[in-house]
Amino acid sequence: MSENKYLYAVTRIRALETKLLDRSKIERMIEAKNAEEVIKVLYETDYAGSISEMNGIEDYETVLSKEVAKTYAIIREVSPTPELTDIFLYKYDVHNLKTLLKSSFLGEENDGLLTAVGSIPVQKLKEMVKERDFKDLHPILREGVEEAVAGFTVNPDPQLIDIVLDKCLFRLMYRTAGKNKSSFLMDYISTQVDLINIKSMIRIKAMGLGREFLKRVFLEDGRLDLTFFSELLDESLDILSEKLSYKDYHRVVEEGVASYQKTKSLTRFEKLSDDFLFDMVKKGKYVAFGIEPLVGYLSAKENEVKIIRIIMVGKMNEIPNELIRERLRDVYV
Amino acid sequence: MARLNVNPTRMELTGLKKRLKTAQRGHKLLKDKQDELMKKFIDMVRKNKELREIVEAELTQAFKNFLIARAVMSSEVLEEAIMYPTQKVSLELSTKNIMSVNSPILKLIKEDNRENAGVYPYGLATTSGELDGAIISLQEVMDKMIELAQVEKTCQLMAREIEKTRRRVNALEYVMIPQLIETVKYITMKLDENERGNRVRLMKVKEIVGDRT
Repeated sequence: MSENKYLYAVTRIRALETKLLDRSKIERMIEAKNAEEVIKVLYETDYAGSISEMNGIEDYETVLSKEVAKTYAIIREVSPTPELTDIFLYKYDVHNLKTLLKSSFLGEENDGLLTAVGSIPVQKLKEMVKERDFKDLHPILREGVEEAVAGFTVNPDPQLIDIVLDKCLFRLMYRTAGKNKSSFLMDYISTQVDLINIKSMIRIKAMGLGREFLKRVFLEDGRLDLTFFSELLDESLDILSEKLSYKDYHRVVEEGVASYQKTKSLTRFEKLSDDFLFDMVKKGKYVAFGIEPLVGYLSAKENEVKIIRIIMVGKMNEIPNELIRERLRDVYV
Repeated sequence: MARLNVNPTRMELTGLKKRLKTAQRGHKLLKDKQDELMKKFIDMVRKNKELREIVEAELTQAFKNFLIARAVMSSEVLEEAIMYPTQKVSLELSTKNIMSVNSPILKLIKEDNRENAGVYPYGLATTSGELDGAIISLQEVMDKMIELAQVEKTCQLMAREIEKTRRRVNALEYVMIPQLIETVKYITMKLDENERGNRVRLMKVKEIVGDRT
């Protein structure tokens, strides 16, 4: 019976899904001669509304953030379980918090960098940071912010803010999913955490930083624990892919690591992990009623925005089409 | 060749001869300076070219990485990640004298405002790995860029100095010295002519006096 509450939400989302960009549209955008042509293609899509308000090509970033905001607004409106959909908003809150904290430590105003998407209104966050009073935040976030502020006063390291808050973000996401007993989301988040941890480890190796740092940035709530990474830090990356060969994402690791060893670039790994996570969500398409289609639509939209951004940046900098295509993520439809 | 507009007197002549000597000495010195400058300049320009090529190659790489990072991350997230720098840099300026050219010496002073070293001002979870590459290559290219700035400015200053010296050398060689020589010759000839005239007059007077007696 409980699935009935999703009836309206899922129906509405299904209707919206049809308006997502399909492969042929994206193909046309890639083949476009320049950024103006890309915009022209977008005019034929759901983006037409926000695009007509654009003041110039460079303005595309605002269009994209507006679209994201719009999507979240719809999701919030239709979602029968706002707690679950808020999971996807936390990252924007955390982003705003990071920006505000750093700005306040720098003594600057950087309101242009805030997004209006988060679950907590920006104005409220601003007041909190100004007053250094975080008691209205979610306990997990509050703890993190207070830790970051305290840590920063001792050792003014901007990285600390990011690290502490990133940790909180994923803890918060995972806990919220756990509290609501959504095994789908728990699975999704822990896979994401695993992939991020793997990526972090590779990056730490490249940076030449040690175990201590790994321990600091390590995100819990994944399925691989710290000892696993700690042991592998001094080993070659081949062993990493070997050890993970039983995991469902072993293909991501194998291919990503192979490409990294060849090119010293994590682009492929990032693309593959995005695709993998996206594949997980895509399964939601076949669930009749539940949170999955909502999450699916949300990710699809975010993914779409990512695709458009890559194409726009590529076109504006005259990057060859093949290179753009290489970096593009899968599409939902 | 034009000669100077002077009275053909013995005093002028000695003066002019002195000036000619100074001009010739000056010319020699300046010529030496020009040669030396030229030698240094060529070395400097070669170094400049090498440095510039290295810096440009590294910058291209850095920007390429940055571009990818930029494409994968949204602008807000990217800017947030790098808004708070971990290092403060200041520039110390002094000068060095190369052949009377005051060339600048730039010294980059990096201040780390945190305990553990590392140039990455952001966390790892929400940023792209491409950003690491961009940040580290920019960090590495920084020293070279400062050196390049120093060398390039020195080259510019030297080029200007060379131009100035060459103009002086040419002015001395093709204008001053020939003019002086010409004038000295003119005065000598004029004086000699006067001398001869005098002598002839004297001889004539002697003749007349001799005829009378």
